Amino acid sequence: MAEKNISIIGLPASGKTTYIAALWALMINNSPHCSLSLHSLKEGNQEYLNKISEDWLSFVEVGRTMLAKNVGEVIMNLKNNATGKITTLNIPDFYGELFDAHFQDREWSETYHEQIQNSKELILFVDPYAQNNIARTIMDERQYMEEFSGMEDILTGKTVGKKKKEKATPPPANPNVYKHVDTSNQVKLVEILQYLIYTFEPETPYKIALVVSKWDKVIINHKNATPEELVKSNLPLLYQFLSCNRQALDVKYFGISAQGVDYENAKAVTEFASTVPEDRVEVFDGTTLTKDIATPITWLSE
Amino acid sequence: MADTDKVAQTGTPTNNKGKISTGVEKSEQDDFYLEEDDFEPGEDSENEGAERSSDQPINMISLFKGEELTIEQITDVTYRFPATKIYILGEHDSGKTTILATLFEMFQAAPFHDFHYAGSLTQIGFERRCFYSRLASKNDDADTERTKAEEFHFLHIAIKKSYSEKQATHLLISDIAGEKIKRAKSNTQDMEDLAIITDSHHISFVIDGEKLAEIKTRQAVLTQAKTFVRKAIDEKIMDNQTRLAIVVSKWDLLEGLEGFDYNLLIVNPFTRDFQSSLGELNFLKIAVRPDSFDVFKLGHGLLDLLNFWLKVEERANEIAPQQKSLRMINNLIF
Repeated sequence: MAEKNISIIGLPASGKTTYIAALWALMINNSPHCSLSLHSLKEGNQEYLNKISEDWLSFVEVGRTMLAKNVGEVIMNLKNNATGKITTLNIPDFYGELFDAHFQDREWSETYHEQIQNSKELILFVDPYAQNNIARTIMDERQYMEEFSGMEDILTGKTVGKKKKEKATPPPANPNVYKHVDTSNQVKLVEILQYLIYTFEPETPYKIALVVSKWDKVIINHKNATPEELVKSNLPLLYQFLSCNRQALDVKYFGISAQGVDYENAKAVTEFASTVPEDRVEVFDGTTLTKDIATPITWLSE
Repeated sequence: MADTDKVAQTGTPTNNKGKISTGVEKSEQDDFYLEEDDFEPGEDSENEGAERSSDQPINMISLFKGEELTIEQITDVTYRFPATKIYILGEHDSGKTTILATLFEMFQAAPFHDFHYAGSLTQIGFERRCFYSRLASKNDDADTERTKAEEFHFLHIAIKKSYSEKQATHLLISDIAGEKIKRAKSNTQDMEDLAIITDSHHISFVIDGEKLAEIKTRQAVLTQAKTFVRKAIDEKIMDNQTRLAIVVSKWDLLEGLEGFDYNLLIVNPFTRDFQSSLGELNFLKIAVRPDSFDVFKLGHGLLDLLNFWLKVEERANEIAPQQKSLRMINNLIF
């Protein structure tokens, strides 16, 4: 029986699927860098895992060629190569829309409730460069207004006879009504974590591996940055919340480059294709850089 | 999986080919695949494919709503934590909502000076205010949505002065609709409706700086404020336990304005007329969203206001729970 039950959570497009694809591919291939190995596949959609890992191995955008309607919950049973301990990796939702729905609908199913109740270790994915990480503030609004000078007229439908600036684009539909989609990612992420804290009142802190995806892109601009520093600067509300609630949330930050290369860069893809798959992955915990994709899972299962 | 089934029920419907549809038909296929051609360039694969269906009934568990709390619901907070209760009063468009919206926006950008965001049970409530407040900055009609509510509602925010601080400070803040304030200053029944504010730790009365800047409306807006305070004292809504702050908003319009003497017009007369009837009387100047950021920064004066509200922390325990709440947010462990 598994000693740990780890769940992977995160908003849409935060890097979960690419990570899982790479993890599966490297597990199947018994990557020498990996601290974990595949123990057994208890249930779930193996076909989908196989397909996304093939995509990853083929340098194709993961999930683009196949979208299963009923992927459902996927469970991986993993064994720690050093200790022999078994860890269950639970993926409630590949796409993150589930978590978006929880935020919008303010409810979750009994099934999900039971799954997440048994999971005291979480991997939380964040995309450091997602456009909606931080809400647009009034200062941004002023800038926006200067750029889109016709905004007032657009909002009130009085654009006839007015000359709009060339760069101006119409605002989104129904701009006068607040919608949950207007909420920034960091507010949603705080809410996801608040749901857990309030609902389950854990006696011991949740252990959270916060994974900053696309780490290869991060270090292009921030060579000496740590994942924690990046969350602090790019998702400041989330960082404050995590830091203020250490008694409930034991967090360690990781930067992960799971894709390894920009697929649109043909030259780089060719270079990467000549290397072994495990060399594509990089994991940085703030002090150590490794090619062990399972590093966050290993930390959570300690 | 049941929860993803729920996504299919409430999310964007799919047609029987599994493509996103604007209709309401439900897919009859259990599994489907999209062809590569169905993707638009640049579309993110992780945003797709969560629509699923099932014939199985789904039992759902409600989570806390995240909206403003009613007076009955604030026990969800006060039952668990010492909380500081603050009322922001002021006439329509005086800047009450802007204060709260800006506070939340500041935390979204960075810690606010020494203060750190420890969470909120009313993030949706804050988000709504931020949204309508931003909208109002470019559309005069938009503010009706945010101020029309006649009932008392509270926003909750937990903050810490340092990450190592053991307990967060919990604020419950209510900004009362301008129309209610306008009526209360001349109507006993409406003033009695405000009896709720007698259990406050702080009352902040906001005077519209824009109206003070305009010579024609200056005396009227000052008289309105004084009339409200006098009526509130006479009706025992404010007494020698009340900590009242007179907050002049939009101070960027008044700083250095010729003919405007802050002490002469505000501090002296309010002190003379009301100090002896109140527990505390203080004066603050704010310009949380100045017209220009050249001289005044975003959130100008907000730190003083926050520090002022937090000074009464020691009184927080005086708010006793009226009843035990059954909501799951009782499990809050900030």
